[in-house]
Amino acid sequence: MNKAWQLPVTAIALTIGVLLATQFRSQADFAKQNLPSRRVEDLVLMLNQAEKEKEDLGKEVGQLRQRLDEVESGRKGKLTTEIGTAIDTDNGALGGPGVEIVINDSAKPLTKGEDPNIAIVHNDDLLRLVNELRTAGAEAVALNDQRMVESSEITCAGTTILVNKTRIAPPFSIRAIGEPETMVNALKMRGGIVEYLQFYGIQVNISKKSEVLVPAFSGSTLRKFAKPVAVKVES
Amino acid sequence: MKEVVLIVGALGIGLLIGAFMPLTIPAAWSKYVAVAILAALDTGLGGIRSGLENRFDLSVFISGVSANTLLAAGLTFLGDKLGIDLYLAAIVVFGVRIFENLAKIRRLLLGRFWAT
Repeated sequence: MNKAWQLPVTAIALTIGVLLATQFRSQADFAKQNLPSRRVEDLVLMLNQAEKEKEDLGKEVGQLRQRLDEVESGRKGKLTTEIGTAIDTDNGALGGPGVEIVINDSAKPLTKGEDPNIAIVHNDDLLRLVNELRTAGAEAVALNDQRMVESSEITCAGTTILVNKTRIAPPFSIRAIGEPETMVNALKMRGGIVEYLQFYGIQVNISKKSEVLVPAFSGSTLRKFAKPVAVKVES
Repeated sequence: MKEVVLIVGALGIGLLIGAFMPLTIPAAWSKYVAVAILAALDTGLGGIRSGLENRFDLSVFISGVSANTLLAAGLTFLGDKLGIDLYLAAIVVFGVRIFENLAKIRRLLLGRFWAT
């Protein structure tokens, strides 16, 4: 009687051991798979801090650009022309005649069963608008104060849209410098982008302006990989 | 004393087997395994206690193991389906019983070594 209990209990102990070790290993794997298991609040706080830091650094960039401009205009020496060619000053603030387009999500109430996705402005809508403007000869384009340069992206990031790695939200305003008439005609073309957007109830307001301000590009134009190459012309 | 060594040794061997077994538990199953571990711990400690009390009955032990495990798994499954964390009920009950059993075992062992 006294010995009979040892064997079953030993078997159970063995089972516990196997289960425990397997579970430990699996849990460790889960922890590895989703590394940032921090709570949403923490992440929001970190995001806010990072954004503030980015803002401050952006201001610093602006100040330094201004100083560079001062130096450049002050001394027209050999050195400054070199700096001038190295840094693309085309990305500075620009003004001139053009158009301003304000786009907002559909104000029409959705009918039952309708996909809410069609009522909001997507990144590809903005991309198509900017593309159309450039086709129509826009010389400088800004999207909600984000200057479109060669590295600018228009991507979808959850519920917001990222431009120049900065989140923008509706209402979107696109400002473009160029021939106002041409650009408006290109946008309002039959079967064009504005007609397409208005079909889905998206609000598009286009206004020609005699003076449109396009802000400077605040991001970095440093190239890490691309290097200038001397093109050999075969004679 | 020998029985304790046997049980602890079995636990260690089990841990080693589990640590080197090429098998991981999918996330959806980890809740069930956690409850199963508690059920097994509960029955194991219950078995030790009844053995020390000289009241061990193999049929009671085996039926206890299966009934507890099935009930715990069933509760967990039902909770999953209902959207309530019903497995917490099993965890609480097993937790309380583990403490009770441990207390009894402690007293029995103390009595064995120091009384008389």
